[in-house]
Amino acid sequence: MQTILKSPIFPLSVMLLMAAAPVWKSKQMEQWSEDDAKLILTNSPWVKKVTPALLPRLNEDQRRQGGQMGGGDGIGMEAFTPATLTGVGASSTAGKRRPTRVATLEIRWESARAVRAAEVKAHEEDPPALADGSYVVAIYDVPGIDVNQTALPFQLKKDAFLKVEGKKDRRASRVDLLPQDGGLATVVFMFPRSEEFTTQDKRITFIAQLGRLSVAQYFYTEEMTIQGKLEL
Amino acid sequence: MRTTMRTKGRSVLIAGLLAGLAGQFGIQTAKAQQATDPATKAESSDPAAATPASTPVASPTPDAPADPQTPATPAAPPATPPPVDLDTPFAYADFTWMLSNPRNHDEVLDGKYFSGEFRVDTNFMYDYNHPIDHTLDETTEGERTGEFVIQALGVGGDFHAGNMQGRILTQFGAVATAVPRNDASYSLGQWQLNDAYRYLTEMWGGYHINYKHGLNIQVGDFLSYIGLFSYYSFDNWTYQPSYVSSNTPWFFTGMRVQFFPTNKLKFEPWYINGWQTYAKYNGRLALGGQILWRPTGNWDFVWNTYTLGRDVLYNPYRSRYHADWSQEYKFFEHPASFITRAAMTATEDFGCETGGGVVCTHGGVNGRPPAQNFTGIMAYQRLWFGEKFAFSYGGGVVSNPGRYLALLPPINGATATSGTPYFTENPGDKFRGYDFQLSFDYMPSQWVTWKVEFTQRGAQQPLFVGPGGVTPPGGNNGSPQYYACNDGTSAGTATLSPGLCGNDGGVWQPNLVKQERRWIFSLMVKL
Repeated sequence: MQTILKSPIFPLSVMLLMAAAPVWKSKQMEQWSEDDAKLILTNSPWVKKVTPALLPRLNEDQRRQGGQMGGGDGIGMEAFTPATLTGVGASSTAGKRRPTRVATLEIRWESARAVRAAEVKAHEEDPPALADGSYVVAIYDVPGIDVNQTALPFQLKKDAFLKVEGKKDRRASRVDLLPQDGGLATVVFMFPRSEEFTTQDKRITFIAQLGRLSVAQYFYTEEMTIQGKLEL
Repeated sequence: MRTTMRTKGRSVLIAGLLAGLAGQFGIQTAKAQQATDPATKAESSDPAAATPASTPVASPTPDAPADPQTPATPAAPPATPPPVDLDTPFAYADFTWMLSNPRNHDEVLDGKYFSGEFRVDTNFMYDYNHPIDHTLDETTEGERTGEFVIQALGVGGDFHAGNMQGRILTQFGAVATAVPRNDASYSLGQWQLNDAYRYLTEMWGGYHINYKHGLNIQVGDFLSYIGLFSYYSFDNWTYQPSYVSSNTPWFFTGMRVQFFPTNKLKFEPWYINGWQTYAKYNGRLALGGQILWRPTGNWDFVWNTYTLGRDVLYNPYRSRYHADWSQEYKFFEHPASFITRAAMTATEDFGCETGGGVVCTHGGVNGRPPAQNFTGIMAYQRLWFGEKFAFSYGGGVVSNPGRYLALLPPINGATATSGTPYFTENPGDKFRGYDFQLSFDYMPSQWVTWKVEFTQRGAQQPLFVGPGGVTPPGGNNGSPQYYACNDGTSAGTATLSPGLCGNDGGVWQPNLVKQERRWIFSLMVKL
């Protein structure tokens, strides 16, 4: 054993292990550099990138049920082939509509100390405000939201949840809308901390519906620890 | 204005650029976006798949849209990101799973001012009763058996220019006679509105006001949705609706106001001529309305009400009231499993007539006149196997003393106006029935449905067409209101007496039976 400890391989291995460990495991928060902070805000257990699911287009009947009419985007008769009627053979690609791109969104567990510290280190301006006694999860880069709509937070609040297996769903208690550059917005969801999550909860699913965009993302509690303490 | 400076903005730009390049090379955009961030690929799809059905999460954009059911084929450069539409009512979720909603996502004929619509509904029915005159009764979703029938052909669409709205849809085919004949209102007075309107199923114009989530004022002839099922079979889970739907109105004529206080709720009061009528039977219009609430993408609640209509020809004192409640629930959604989706519905109807010789309840007690009311329920469930196959089953029961909502059998060509002595709809007449359906759909594309369905219906009173048919010898004699004789001539009276038709072979009797079993084969197209 002593031979191993004295061997130059040991300290090298330790160094390699430390280098492989993520920065939030290997360094104290105070020691984080700006690059460390950016790394945490890009790829860490508290920050996830997600491509939201986009609901299918409304057909004219659905629009009419909603009291409106006309989408102006008919795909034309070229879409029809014998396969349309029988299901046999190749379907036509002619006349089919252009796709609508869904941008990647970023989800941050905003109330985690690690995220707040990283935002400061990374010199991010005006991070979302936190509410006492709340878990705060924010979705960044959301397109098409008018942040001045006063009723909108109330609607968004109804369709946002934190789910943990075996426990009652936790519904958002408050939603804030913050403008971003380029017409995008940050949607900040606050959930009551009435009952603290623990590492026993294993996995927390964040679910939100933003109009026709659906977002669902897992967060793993065992990964969201710093020095053995769960950071949410 | 508050500005948030963050690194993730750059990642989106990079993702967008890569996605754009991917698009140029014909690679699906969403896929390209995921490729820019391996973590996203692994993380984003997983929760959506595992999300409980009660959560309104849409299925992720498909990777390989070879399935013609899938709405779009990403093959072109990316468009701008879609807005988060929380303004348009009921646009926050996909409700195409619902009974009474068409399932297509792409519109074929959709332009700036006009969104065209084309529907064809054909059927071939095998009736175990084998009626000699090929006639089917007590339904509006099938008129003939043992032969090919063009049930309905609709051409039309929505007109929209600015805030102006209008809709027209034809109803050529068997429904053009089968539905108007249940309405006797045009018989009061002149101008034969049944002829004027019979080939149009929807015809209305209106104006949209941008108040809250929308306020529409519309006048004309519009669908009712009392009884849950759509008038258009393509939109329904089964071809033969239960009595609660088949015997309640398909349309109203009048005015309605649609108000959407939120994007999940609609209030829609009606001021209408009557109960599925082109005209007004007597001296008073009817009031009604609908409350539609879709709290999540998995739930739908409808409350319909009809009041004050006086819907009996030449009886100006009998008023009709009706309540119709429906609930729809999608309780399972998992694209990767054998059963990909499951949903169910329930509908409860209660109604009655009062005045003019009848009362709502407790009829015949202490000298009260007969009670005339309607109680019915129906429930259905549907299972999807992928997007191309589905199996639906369900049925219902009904009780309707007074038979005021029973569909008069077309004996000797009878209509609601003529009546028939062979099946009266008088106070005190009983009508109780049941039915169930087993229905299998093959849906090769979002616009076409091939359907095979078994339906069985029964009643405590002879009601369905039996082997002998309901047509007098030699065909209809033009006097359905009277008994017919066995030589085909009219007895000239609706009173049965000894010796009637004594010189004409005796009184002819239609063949009505208590049970009906049918196979329905149907091809339906909706563009």
